[in-house]
Amino acid sequence: MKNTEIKEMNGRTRPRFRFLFWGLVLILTAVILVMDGLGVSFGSTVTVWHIIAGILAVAWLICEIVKFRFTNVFFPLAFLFIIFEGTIAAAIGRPGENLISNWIVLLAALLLTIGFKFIFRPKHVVSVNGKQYSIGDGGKIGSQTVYLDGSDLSGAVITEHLGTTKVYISNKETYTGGGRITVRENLGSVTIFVPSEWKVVSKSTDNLGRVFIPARDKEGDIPLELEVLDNIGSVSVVFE
Amino acid sequence: MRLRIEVDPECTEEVVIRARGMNDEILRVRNAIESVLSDSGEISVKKPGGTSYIKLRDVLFFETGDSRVWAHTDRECFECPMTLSELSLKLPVSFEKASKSSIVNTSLIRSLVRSPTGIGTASFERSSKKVFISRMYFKSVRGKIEETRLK
Repeated sequence: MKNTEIKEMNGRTRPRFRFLFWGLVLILTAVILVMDGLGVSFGSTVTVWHIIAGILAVAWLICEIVKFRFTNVFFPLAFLFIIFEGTIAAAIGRPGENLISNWIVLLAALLLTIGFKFIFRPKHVVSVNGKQYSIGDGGKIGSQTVYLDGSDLSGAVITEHLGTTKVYISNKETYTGGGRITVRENLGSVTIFVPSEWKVVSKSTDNLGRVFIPARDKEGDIPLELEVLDNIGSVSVVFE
Repeated sequence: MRLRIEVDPECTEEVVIRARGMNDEILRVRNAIESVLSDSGEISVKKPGGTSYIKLRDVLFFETGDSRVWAHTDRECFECPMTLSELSLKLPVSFEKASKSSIVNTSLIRSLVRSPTGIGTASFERSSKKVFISRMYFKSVRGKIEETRLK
């Protein structure tokens, strides 16, 4: 399975689009600053700092929405309300009034976030080649153990979201090379136990996360490709 | 306590402990005998070509995963044809339930660490594998270790 197929299959934003998005946000902020420096007016109630803070809050809001994290939208909305409270008050015919105390707005956002998170709790999800694993407790909530067959390691895709996952490989003696394990991970921890006779070749496109493959005096002979498409989390290889 | 060995070439071999009641000494003798007997015990596991047998003294822990039971040695994992409840009835006393989904060999535990939330982690000799011990079973695992080892 190719990289692009895996990424499209999982429906996540690609890293380059994320960089593009944040790049545009920063460029727009710089343009606003330059325009303000040139004396361009943004209205009587809005300063350049209101606009910059507003751009960042909107960017935050968009990030949460495109990642389908709808429970996290209340804080950016609260900040937007606080930033543009004067403009909103003027628009509804109550100029100069403090509509709601900032602390009340932030407290309401906090309670809404917690409340919606209780109702729509994120689940620890692990799947291998699209097959969903039932969530066993493994002695610890959110902990899961996945077993891969050494005789069929070509293109195993492990998708992990939240929690701790241990990956063991059975029937190791049947593996002769040419296998690839892809770990798609977000905010979790994955540990892969690999025989010391194997050589792990990392092909990771990792952002903000950690991929740890211990250094050894003598590398193994049998190659195994490890591809990590990782957002924020850790993937560790343990040689047995 | 007296130790008596009766040699009879025609008998069925068995060990009988005759005691007035259970006490620490009797428990230690029982555990010592059990550990000697379990040293020679083996368990069947599934292999690509059929069935194979591994020594129980090499098994670090049994764990369920993907609706199957797996036996872990220091470097390998094997699918086991029995369920955890069947195993808990047949395994020697050195094996203790560590969570709803695992049974651990307490005689091979090198260290036990308990987190502030109460969840324990057991690590083993000659292996980087670790097994979680849930709050409910931590006391019994630690008790088994203290029962069978010198403080």
